[in-house]
Amino acid sequence: MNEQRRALLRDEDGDGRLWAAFSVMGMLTVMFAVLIIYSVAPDIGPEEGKLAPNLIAPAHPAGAADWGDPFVLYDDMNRDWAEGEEGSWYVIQFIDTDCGHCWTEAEDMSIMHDQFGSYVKFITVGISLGIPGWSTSPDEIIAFQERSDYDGCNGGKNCNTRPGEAHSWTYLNDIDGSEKSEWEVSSTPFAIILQPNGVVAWNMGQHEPQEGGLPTAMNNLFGGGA
Amino acid sequence: MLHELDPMLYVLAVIIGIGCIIPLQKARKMFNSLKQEKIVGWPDSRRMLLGLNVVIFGGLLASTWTWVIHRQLLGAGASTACTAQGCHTLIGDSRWNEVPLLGVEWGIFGLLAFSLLGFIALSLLFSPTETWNRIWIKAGLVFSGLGLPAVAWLVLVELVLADGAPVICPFCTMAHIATVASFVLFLLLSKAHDAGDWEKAVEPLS
Repeated sequence: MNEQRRALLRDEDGDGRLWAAFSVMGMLTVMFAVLIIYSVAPDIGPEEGKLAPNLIAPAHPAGAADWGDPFVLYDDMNRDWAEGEEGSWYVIQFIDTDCGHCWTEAEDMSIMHDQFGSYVKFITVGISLGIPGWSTSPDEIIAFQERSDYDGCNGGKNCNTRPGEAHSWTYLNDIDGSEKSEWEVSSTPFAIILQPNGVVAWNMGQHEPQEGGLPTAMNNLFGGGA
Repeated sequence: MLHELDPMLYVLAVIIGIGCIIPLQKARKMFNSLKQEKIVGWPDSRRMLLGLNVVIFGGLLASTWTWVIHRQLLGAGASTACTAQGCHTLIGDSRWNEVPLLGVEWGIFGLLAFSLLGFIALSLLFSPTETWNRIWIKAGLVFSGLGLPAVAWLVLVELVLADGAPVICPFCTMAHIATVASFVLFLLLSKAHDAGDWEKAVEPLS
């Protein structure tokens, strides 16, 4: 026992490195304290009043040949925006190309885009709800967006028979579902309106369908539109 | 102009500046006037190690601060921790504030990298007479050298690639200076060790 103690006292190698490790851990603790004291932890979530989660997914702008660079919501929005200032709002709509309500709402989306598109950025995210018998694909999402010739939308119909016009805004591909859980999407169509600074202004899931849905929310927020 | 700079920038500049001055011969006089006889009596290599540790601490603090700025930008849209436009343009943009391939924020990466360098430098400071010193100095040289391409990339982003370039993020610049200074000090220590100038007679601190 005494020999072991003497060996420990003589072992300067272990001693110096041990003290170094303790010191680094102490410094890291101080750094984390600095971080906690000085930084404001963002309240992120899809609920109204919170900062929306980031949205990163391959993008297909209208008219593009194929899926391009990912759209990154946090890089697009203006976090310095303040109430009353001009800025581009967002409507983020989640759809499954086989969902019947998404099929019919496509026409409302065309109308709303004509009405509000000059100051509201429309983004539609194609997801897969995983319902048996429904299947979607990146090509089908583009066909839904462009209203082009493709069999498979809304349970086997040709996408060129979709109500409304071809959609002239960007579609995102989230078939792998990496974003839908953060946005708490359990059914489609699902829509959220964001302020230009990314704060959620309206969440469909927090309102009863009787309140009128997205068109009423848009009218309430923006009036008659352009 | 100076009064418009953020207070933490002064703190970092002073810490890193002191770390760079300590290894100089003139620093002996400074410690003498401060009645730090023990440090005055230290051999050059150990004073260099002390300076290295101070520089690394400055780098650690600068990295943490960029992380603070990022969290403030994320949470509130603006940052009181840095009012310079460069911070907003660079730290607030995920294209530039992530380590390529790793996807980790630069602030977190810097914190981990300076912690590793700090562990190496502190171990050498506490035990400067051990057989493992040489290999640890070389490891410090390699790890700090790996930071140089990262600094080069970030300077390229600041001067050329970022929106509205050139834009300068002063806190990032402090971390860059600490990285380069760490490499230079490890290089000098390595040369001193290779040349046999490493004072083996010095008593361990602990």
